[in-house]
Amino acid sequence: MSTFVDDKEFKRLAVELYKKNLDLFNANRTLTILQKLYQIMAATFKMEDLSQQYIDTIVSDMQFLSGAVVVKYPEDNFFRVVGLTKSRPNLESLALLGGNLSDIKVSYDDEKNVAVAAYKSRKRMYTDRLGDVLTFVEDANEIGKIEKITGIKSTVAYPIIFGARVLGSFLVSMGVEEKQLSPTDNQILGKVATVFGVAMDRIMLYQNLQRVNEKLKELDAQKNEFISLAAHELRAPMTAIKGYLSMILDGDAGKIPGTAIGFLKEAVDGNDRLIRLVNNMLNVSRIEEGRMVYQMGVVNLKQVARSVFNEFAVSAKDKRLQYELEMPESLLDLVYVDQDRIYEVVANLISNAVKYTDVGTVKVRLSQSSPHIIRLEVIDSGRGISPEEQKRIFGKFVRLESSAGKTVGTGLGLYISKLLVEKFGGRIGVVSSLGKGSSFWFELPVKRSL
Amino acid sequence: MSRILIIEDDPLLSKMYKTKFTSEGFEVETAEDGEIGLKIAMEGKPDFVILDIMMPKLSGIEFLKRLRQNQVGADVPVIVLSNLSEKKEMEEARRLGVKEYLIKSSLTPKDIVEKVKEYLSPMGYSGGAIS
Ligand SMILES: Nc1ncnc2c1ncn2[C@@H]1O[C@H](COP(=O)(O)OP(=O)(O)O)[C@@H](O)[C@H]1O
Ligand SMILES: [Mg+2]
Repeated sequence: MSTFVDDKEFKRLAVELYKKNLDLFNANRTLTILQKLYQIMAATFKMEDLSQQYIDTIVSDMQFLSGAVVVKYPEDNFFRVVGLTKSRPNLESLALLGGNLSDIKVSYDDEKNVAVAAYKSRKRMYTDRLGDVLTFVEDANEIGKIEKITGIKSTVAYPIIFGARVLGSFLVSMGVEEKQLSPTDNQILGKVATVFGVAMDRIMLYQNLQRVNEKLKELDAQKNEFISLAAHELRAPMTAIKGYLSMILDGDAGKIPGTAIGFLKEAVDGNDRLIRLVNNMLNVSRIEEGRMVYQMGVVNLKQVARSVFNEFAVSAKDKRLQYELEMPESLLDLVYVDQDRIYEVVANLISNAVKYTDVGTVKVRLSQSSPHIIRLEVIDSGRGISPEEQKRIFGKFVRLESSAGKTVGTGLGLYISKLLVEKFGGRIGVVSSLGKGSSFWFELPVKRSL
Repeated sequence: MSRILIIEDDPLLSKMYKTKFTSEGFEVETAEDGEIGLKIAMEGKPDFVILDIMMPKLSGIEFLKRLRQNQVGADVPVIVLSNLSEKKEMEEARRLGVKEYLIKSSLTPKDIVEKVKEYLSPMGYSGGAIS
């Protein structure tokens, strides 16, 4: 059995097919243009670039004669042209008007202007008179000339809206009357207007963000400068205090009673702490601003680890911690660093482990998973650090609430360590969970030969 | 008795170093900026100069340049005693032939006196030379 279709039915089906095909074609046209607009949005961060590319795409894909985009910034009461089809007739007309697009301003109060009207009413507007577009041109003769050059018969304006805010308008002009625009074309323009709103809002947000960012950078620089200045000013008096205290302790002022010696030593400790803090702050700005002096050389990391380890043995013993150093003999441990600075890093990690661990163990371990990398870990059985805290802990001046009141510190140790390790081409991090202790580690590339 | 010139703009520190050096038997002169320091150094060649870097009028580095240009000052031993530990200044000072570049806040007056004594002793300084 075969399906038989008579002539009438065939015609009906053919018409149906044609309509469906047209729908499909139109849907495809819409999608193509919207997709282009989205791609432009993703790649563009400047208002002028975006507007120009948008209006070019719309005009060429939908075969208009010309198009333009105007924006109203909150700062003043004018609309500015941020995009215009760069066709020969347009350029000729522009030359007639003085030649400069950026000189064209349309007042917010100019409600005769079709772009302003669309902006204020938040609705699609159209006009069959070019004078309603070029309201800033006073001479009617000139408008007539431009009409001739461009062949424009009508212009449609859409407001560019995002959420509750109107950001501007865009206009398209054609050589026929407005009513000849097809329903599909109008539909497409409506969708284009929506995408335009999203894209323009994104650009404005981005511009704002940049402004804020610039401001923040400026403030940060000011703050750094202030810290440096204050720190420099603090050092002279602190040096004097240190000097006089040491002279008294050395007996330069005669014999002093034992209790006084005890008090003076406390004062020396307090002052030394201040000096360290101030030096740390200055070091931070020096590293950050690239003014740090690095005495780079090939250094034996095992030796550094051993001597820092020994330096903290007394304080670990005072806290009755089990204190261990694990260092396989076979390690390839030459690294290219500034010896004093890497010493500082290891000292920061070990001193933290001892400082923030009340019972249990502190263990320093050197290891090697590949011949190219050496790893130093400081493993403690202290309070541990939560994942959220781990994210912040290498930041400037960060101290965790748990340690802020109980221990003394500046919150600069880990920050400096990170800057330094990264400067030496390595990585630094922490493995920890609350209540289970912490393991702070860093890795450096191994130097194979001198 | 060795004559020592301390060039330091902070009066608190200048007085302290003067007190210490005097009590250690040195003959001490002080200058509150590089310009005055240079004048004193040229008039009567000191045995040793302790030099700050950040000073008004004439910085420590400028002082050194002028001192070295002049025959009188070409070989006067100088120790820089500064709180400024910038690469640029350290290298310049080294080029201008200072014995050491020391950081004030990490040393006591006694430490400094001992350094100077070592350089002035007939045996010369027994520690490593700086390059
Ligand atoms: N081993 C550790 N165990 C638990 N907390 C630590 C450990 N090391 C560092 N921390 C936390 O990280 C903060 C920042 O450390 P750091 O930068 O060295 O500054 P500081 O020790 O001067 O406070 C410390 O205040 C402390 O809260
Ligand atoms: Mg610390």
